[in-house]
Amino acid sequence: MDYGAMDIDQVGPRVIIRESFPNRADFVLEHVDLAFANSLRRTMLAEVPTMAIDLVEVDENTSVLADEFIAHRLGLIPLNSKQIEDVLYTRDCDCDQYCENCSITLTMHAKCTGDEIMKVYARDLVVAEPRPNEWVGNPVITDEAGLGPVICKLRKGQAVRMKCIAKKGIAKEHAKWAPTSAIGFEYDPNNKLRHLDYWYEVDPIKEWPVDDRNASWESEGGPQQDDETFDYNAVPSRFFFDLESIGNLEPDAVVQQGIKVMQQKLAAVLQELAGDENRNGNAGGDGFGVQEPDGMQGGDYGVDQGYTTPYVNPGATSQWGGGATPYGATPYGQSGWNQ
Amino acid sequence: MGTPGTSIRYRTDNKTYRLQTGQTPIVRPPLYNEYGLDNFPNGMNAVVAVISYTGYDMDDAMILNKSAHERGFAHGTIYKTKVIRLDENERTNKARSKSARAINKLFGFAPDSFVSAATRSKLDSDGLPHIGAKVTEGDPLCASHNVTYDPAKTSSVAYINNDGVTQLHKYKDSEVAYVEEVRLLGAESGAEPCQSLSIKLRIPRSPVIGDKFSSRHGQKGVCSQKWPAIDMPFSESGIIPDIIINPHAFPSRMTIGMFVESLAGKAGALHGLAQDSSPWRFTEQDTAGDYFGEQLRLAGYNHHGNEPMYSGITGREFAADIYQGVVFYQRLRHMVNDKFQVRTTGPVTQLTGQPIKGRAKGGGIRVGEMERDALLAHGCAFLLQDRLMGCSDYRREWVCKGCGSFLSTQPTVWGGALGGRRGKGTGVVRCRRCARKLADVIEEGSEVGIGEEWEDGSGEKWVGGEDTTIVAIPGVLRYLDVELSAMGVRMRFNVGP
Repeated sequence: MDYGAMDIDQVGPRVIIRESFPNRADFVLEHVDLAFANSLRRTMLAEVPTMAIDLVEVDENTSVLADEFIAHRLGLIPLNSKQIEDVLYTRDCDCDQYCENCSITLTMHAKCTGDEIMKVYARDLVVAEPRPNEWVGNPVITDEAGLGPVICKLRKGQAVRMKCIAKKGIAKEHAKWAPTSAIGFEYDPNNKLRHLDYWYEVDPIKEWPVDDRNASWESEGGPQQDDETFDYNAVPSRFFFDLESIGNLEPDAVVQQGIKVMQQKLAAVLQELAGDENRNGNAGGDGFGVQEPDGMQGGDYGVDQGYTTPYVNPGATSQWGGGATPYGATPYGQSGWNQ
Repeated sequence: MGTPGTSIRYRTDNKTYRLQTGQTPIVRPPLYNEYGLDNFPNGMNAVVAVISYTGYDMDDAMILNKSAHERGFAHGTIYKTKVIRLDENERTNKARSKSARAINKLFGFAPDSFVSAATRSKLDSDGLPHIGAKVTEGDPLCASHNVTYDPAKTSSVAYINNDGVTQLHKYKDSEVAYVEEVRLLGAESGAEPCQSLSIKLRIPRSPVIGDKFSSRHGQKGVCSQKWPAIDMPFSESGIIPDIIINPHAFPSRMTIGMFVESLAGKAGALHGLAQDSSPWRFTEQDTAGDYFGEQLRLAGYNHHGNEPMYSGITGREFAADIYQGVVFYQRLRHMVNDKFQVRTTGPVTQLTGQPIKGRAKGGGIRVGEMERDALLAHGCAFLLQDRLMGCSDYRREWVCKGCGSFLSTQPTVWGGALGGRRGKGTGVVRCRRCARKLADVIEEGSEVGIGEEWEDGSGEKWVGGEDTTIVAIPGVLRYLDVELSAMGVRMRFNVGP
C-alpha cells in the first residue's frame, strides 16, 4: 500500500504502523525532530505507569529462599495494567497506607504435601476483590500451559504464605514497573546525515549490515551514491520504532500512554512558564516564574558573566571584607578578572 | 561472591558470601559442564559496552545500569554466625562438662521479670529471636538470666533466679541483618541445660556504588554510578548495556581474551549457543574473531562486534560505533560496606590525645607526610592545621612567657591565710619556676607592692610568676616536653608577641 499517496496532512507528526503483534509494535514516526522522538522513547521506557507488587507481608516462609529474595521475585512478575487510570497512586490516595482504590492485594498460599518438588507459579497468586477494574492486577500469563513465571520451589512440608500488595508506579522509580522490555530506535539507516563514522577495514558498505526494511523504507532509498552531494543542513525526521511490551500493557497502549504522559509533562511546564495570578511569581516582571525566597533579589544579579552570586555582596568584596578571589579584586591588587 | 556449596543451609561458617542471582556463563570450557559448575553459579552474563560515557567510567570504574540492578543483577548475601556463650567468662574451667551446680546462667527471660515491650517485639517468649526477624545495631539477639542451683528442687526447675534481672545480648554490627537460623548448642554429656547458642544472620548486599566487579580476565572495576536506563546508550535493536566500561582499560593490559569473550558471548546469546572457550582452538589462519564474527554476521550484526549506538539523553547517533557484547561478570567480595571509614571526632589514644587507628574502632585515617606535602603545595594552610591539630590532639596549655616552659606552670591555690578557702583554686596560673620566695626578694632589698605576693598551698609566700598565657598546641608537644625533661633536656618556647 502506498502510504505516501494517502491524503494526510504532511506538516504534523505522522505515525505509520508497519507491523503489530500482541506484544510488539513496529512503527515509523515521521515529521518530528530528534528531541521529540527520543522524548517519546524515554517516556515509554520509564514513565508509563503500570502495576507491580510493591509490598510483601510474609506470614510463613519455610522454603529455601530468603524472604527478601522471594519478595524481589514477586515484584518482577508483570501484572496486567489495562486501564490503569482507574487506579490511584498510593501517595495521592486518601487512605493511610493502602486501600482498594490505590492497590491490589494478591495472596500466595502454597504448601507442598506430596513427595515431588512443587513449583509455585504466578497463576497461584490469588487476586482479591474488589479492585478498580476487572483486569488490573492479574498476573500476566502467556505460556500455553497457563502457568506464568515460577516464583519458588517447595519440598515436602515446606510452605509459603504471603500477602502481596501491588501498587501503581513508573519504571523511573523501579524497573519492575517497566511496560517495555526494549524499544528499538533507529533513524537514517543509510547514514546520509553522516552522524556515524563507520569503522571498517576495507569497505564499509560490504562490512556493515544494513536493516533492509528500514533502509528501503527511506524514499530516497539505497546507500550514499558517489555523485550524491552531502546535505549538511539535513536533520533526522523519520524514526523507526520497534517496541516490545512485557505484557502488562498492550504495545499500542504503551505508545498512547507514553504520549499522554509527555503531554501532561509539557502541560506542567507550560503552566509554570505561563504563570498564574494566584502564584507568587509573575511571568511578565522578570522572566522567571516561581522564585526562591532568598535568591535573585539584587537587581545586579545576572547582568555580568556569572561571577557574582545573588547574595549580600555582589561583586568584588566578599562577606568577610577581603577581596573575593579569583574574579573580583584580590588582596594583591586590582587584578580582577573582569575589570 | 558465588555459590559456596549446596549445603549452605546446614553450615555455620563465621562468614560466607553468596550470590543470589547467578547464571551459567555463555562462554565456557567443556570442563565447566563436566565439573557440574552450573550447580554453583558464580557470576552473571552482562551486556557490556566499551565506551567512554559520562566520565563515570574513568580509571577502571564502571557504570551499572540502574534497571539491571533493580532486576537483581549481582545481588548477593552474606551469612554471619554469632555464637553466644553463657559461660564465656569461665574459660579457665577447661572441663567442658560442668557440674550441675556450676551453672549460673540460663537463656530466656528471668521468670516474672519486667521485660519492655520493645524487647518483647524483638524476642520470642523463650528469649530467642524470631526466625526472619530484622535486627539492627543495638537490638537484642537473645536474653539470659542468672540462676543458682537448687538441690532441694523446691520448684519444678532445678535452677532458681533470685535477682529477677534479664540480661540482653546485643547485636553490635552496624548493618541490618535478618535472623536465618537459631541453633541451641548442647554439651557433650547432654545432661546440662543449654549454655550456648549459634545464631546465623543473613545480610542482604545488593550492589552499591563502590562495590567491586570483575570479568574473568582480571578486568576488575568499581561501580561508580547506577545510571538510569533511559540515560544509557542503546543500540538500534533497543539493547541497553548492563555495564559500561572504559576503552582505556584495554590497550596497556592487552586482555584480548575479554574481547573474544564479548564477541563469543554476543554470538552465543543471539544464536542460543553455549560457546566453547577452550584455548588453542584457533590458529593465525583460522582466528576466533573470524569464527565468532561469522556467527555475528549471520545474526545481522557487524562481524567485529561493533554496533551503531545512540545517546540515551539526546537520542543522537554516536559518531563512532561501539563495541558491545556479552561478558560474564563476577562480583568480588570487596565491598564498600566492609571498608568505608568516616570520623569527625571519636576515640583517642590516652597517651597523646591523637585519634586511634582502625576502622572497627571508629578511628581516623592518618594524614601522613605525603598528604601533608600535598596540602602545603596547594596552600591549604587552614585545612592542614585543622587536620593536624584541630581534629587531632588540639589542646590549650598554659605556658610561661618568661621562661618558656609548659611544665612549670601551675594553677595556684588559696593559702592558709584565708582559712576556709584554703586549698581551693584561685583561678590564677603562675609559673613556679619564675616565682621567687618573698623572703628572698625582701632579703635582696627589692620592693614588693601590696598584693604582689601570693601564698601557695603549703603556706609559703611567693612573688612573681604571673607572666603566663594560654597557647594552642598539639597535645603531643607537651608530652614530648615531659619525656625530654625526664631525660634532663629542657625545652624552651619563645612565646610571642
